[in-house]
Amino acid sequence: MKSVILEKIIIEVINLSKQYGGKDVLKDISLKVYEGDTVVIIGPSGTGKSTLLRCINLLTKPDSGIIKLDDIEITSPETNGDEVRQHIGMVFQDFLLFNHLTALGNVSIGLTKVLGMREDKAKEKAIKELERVGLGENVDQYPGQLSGGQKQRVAIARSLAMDPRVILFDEPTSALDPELIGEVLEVMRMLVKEGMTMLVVTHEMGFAREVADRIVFIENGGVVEEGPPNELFYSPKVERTREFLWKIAELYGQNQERSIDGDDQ
Amino acid sequence: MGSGQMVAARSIGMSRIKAIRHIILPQAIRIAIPPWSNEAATVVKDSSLVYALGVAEILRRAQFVSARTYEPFLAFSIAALIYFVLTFVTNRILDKVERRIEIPTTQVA
Repeated sequence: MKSVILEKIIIEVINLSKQYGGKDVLKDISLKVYEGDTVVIIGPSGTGKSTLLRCINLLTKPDSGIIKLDDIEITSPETNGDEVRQHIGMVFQDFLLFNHLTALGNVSIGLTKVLGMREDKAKEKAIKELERVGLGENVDQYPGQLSGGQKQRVAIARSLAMDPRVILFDEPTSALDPELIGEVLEVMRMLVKEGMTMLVVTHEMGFAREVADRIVFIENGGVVEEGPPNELFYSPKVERTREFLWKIAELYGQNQERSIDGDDQ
Repeated sequence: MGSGQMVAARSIGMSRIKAIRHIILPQAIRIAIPPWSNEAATVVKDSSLVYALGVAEILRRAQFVSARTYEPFLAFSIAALIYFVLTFVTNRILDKVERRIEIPTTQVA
């Protein structure tokens, strides 16, 4: 699925900066996401990871810098943000499903109200997307009737339905009970296999090591180190990276062990 | 309602106006109906205050009738009955609406 010779850049962030109340949240950050790649962003809380995703999705306006989607500058003032967001999926930590709509409604509303698709066509596609994330039986249930893991999978189906160029995941498993994390990661692994371009902020190191093409370690609004998982996990160049990974491993120790076991199967 | 609903709506490419129409309003109305229901009853009963402006509303009319017929008890009883029917019917209708558009949930809030 990935061509080595001619990899296309889907998202390019160039020297992006953002301040909140005089504090630098993002400092001159640059990042490239190639087509079909899974890039995982790791780093301590409050270091601008979420802000970076929100900037890429034009939900937050950066102070300076350029963001390109498919080589088109989306940070220019002429850009229609609504149109850009149709092509960039986003999955949130706290799901943010539309509470008054069924699973089916959540997935199809973008198709009918944003893309102007006919009701029956939209329904058909929405059911297909829900089946893809393993929720074919839950189409008529409301968010209030679903478990956290199911909610997050509906949220993933909601972004998939728009056929996005890239999906941004903002700590998609952080709000889930430990036993529900697996089903969400499984869906994400499936997307990786299908060649979806993904930019994922997560603390799930097992998942990162397993599926990421590149890992970017961000701290204090800047990239500390980036590279393929093996390099970053086993021979980090920067001492701070080693320190952070060690801390995370200690914190989620057993979790990581389980993930590694999973790899072997 | 959390601001997240708007963010989520925008994230799938909805304009602000579409988001308000399809996501925010349908939920806001559900939240607003129970207090409305109380408000409606209060408004009906407070209508007697316009008497102060010289408008003859239900209570004032009852007074007119009792002055003419010398049957204050009957006149005011009927006025009371009218108030009751008005508030009861409005509450019942809003209750029905509330139940009809209620969002199913299995969670204990």
